[in-house]
Amino acid sequence: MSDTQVYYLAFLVKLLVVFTLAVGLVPILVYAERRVSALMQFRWGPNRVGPFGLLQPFADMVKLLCKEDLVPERASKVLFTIAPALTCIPPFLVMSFIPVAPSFALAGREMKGVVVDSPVGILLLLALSSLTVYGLAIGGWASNSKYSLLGGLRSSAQMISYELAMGISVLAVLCVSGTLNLSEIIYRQTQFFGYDAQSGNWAGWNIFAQPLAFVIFLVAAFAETNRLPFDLPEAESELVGGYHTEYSSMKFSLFFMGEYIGMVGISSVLVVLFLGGWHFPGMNSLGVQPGTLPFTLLGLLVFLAKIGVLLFFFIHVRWTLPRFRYDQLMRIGWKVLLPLALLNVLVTGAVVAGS
Amino acid sequence: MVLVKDRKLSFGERCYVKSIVAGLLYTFSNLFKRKVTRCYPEQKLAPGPSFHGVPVLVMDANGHPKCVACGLCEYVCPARAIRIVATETERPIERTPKTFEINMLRCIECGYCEESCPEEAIVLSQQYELVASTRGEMRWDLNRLLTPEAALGPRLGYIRKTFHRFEADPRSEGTARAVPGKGGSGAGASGAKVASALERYRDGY
Repeated sequence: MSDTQVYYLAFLVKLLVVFTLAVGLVPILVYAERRVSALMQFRWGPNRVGPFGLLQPFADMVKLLCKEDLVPERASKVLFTIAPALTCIPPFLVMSFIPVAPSFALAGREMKGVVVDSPVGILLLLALSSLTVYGLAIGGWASNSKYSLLGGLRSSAQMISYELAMGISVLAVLCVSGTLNLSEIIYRQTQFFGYDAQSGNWAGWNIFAQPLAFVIFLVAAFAETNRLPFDLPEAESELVGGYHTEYSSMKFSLFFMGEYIGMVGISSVLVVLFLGGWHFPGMNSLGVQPGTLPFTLLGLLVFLAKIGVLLFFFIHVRWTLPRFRYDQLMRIGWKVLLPLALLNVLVTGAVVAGS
Repeated sequence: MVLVKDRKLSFGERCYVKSIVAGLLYTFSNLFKRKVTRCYPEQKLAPGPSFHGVPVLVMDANGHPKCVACGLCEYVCPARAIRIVATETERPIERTPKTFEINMLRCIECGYCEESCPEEAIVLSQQYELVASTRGEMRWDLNRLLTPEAALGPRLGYIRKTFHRFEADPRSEGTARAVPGKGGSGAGASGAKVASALERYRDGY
């Protein structure tokens, strides 16, 4: 087998790993969500199917697959059918831009720990993640139901509002990192805290250099993934089910999957931008040679642990905070987060330009 | 009319950071607290003596029903779940049920039968798992209803305390009002009958 063939085979394996990561985390998240919420409410949660109820998501999946796939008579059939797929595809694409592990040498070449290593990765990432809103808005409109329509409208308004604050908070991070390439951004964070001795640039995790941007991004991330306390598009007490009111069976579960993969995606972005990606303090002194496969796998594990913590935080917040009112949501987005993000960029820009 | 003015919140309070962190800490600590859910088939409820389970007939030390087939329970039963056919007997009570049938599909476990019974012969047990695959199986006959006094001790003690019916009764001494728990001490064939009924009761019928 030639070196090129090995390289392409490794590329396919990489693709598969990232895809399984995204898909495989969904049942785990469904289980974790139900279990954690139960434990927080003094219940036990699912513990019947399989050991500790671990097979519950699969039982749920079988149930959803066996359900009748209803399409409302007055619905716009084509759009109604493609909308769930539209919400599900962008998070997958986002995952392909995430450098989940450090690079390693293979067949004389450098094998990156990311599927698509684009020089403008962060821009593509923001652009793709905002495509999710089409799925929700189209799904809401195509259902031909007032609740769905309101849910779709809310989701588009909310996502557009919070995207601004999110994008601008990322801008400040880019000021510090000086690059749009996500792998580069991680390589700029390979010290836990402190400056690079040679260039004098910040080389610690960005969360310490940009705490405000981190908080803004985190809050916006909740809004972007339609999670409580910003789950207005599917507020069940107001809108029955929001944009997915009329959906059933596998179409419904696609929306569900889209939400969870979106969570995985946004947590990954948070980890890459603010929490040092696959890096953790003392990683280089473990005796694993950087640039080898074991080092890459170690990096992957660290990355998984970090998004695991963030995903737990997502679930934790959902079962703690109540939902915002719609005007409060808009007020926070436009009158608090956006000015704060702008201020943050101004200050960061001034500091970076001055030094 | 009382006018309540909202307190003006300080800047820190309006950020809600403190309350959010407090809430997150509370829910996190809940993860490790005692859970109130009972995992039913594995952890069964142990009902107290005041529990209304399915009604059963009390079996005396000789393996006979204490019931005198007076028909009060049949009459008082709001769900009409009880059917009694009476017959004569050589025993001192002179009258005894030939058949005694409770339709558990009709029974609402209200306890009127127990309350109306002058002989402490029908009592609500602590059984609450009523399962059958046919309607016929839910019609319990005399044999199935007969339960040794020993198994019903806590409930008998409870109703004596609650109803105060037998306190002034001069007959309330002797074997008929034996202390619960000693019911199964009969000898010979009747003792074996009581013992097997006791076992059946503990197996949940």
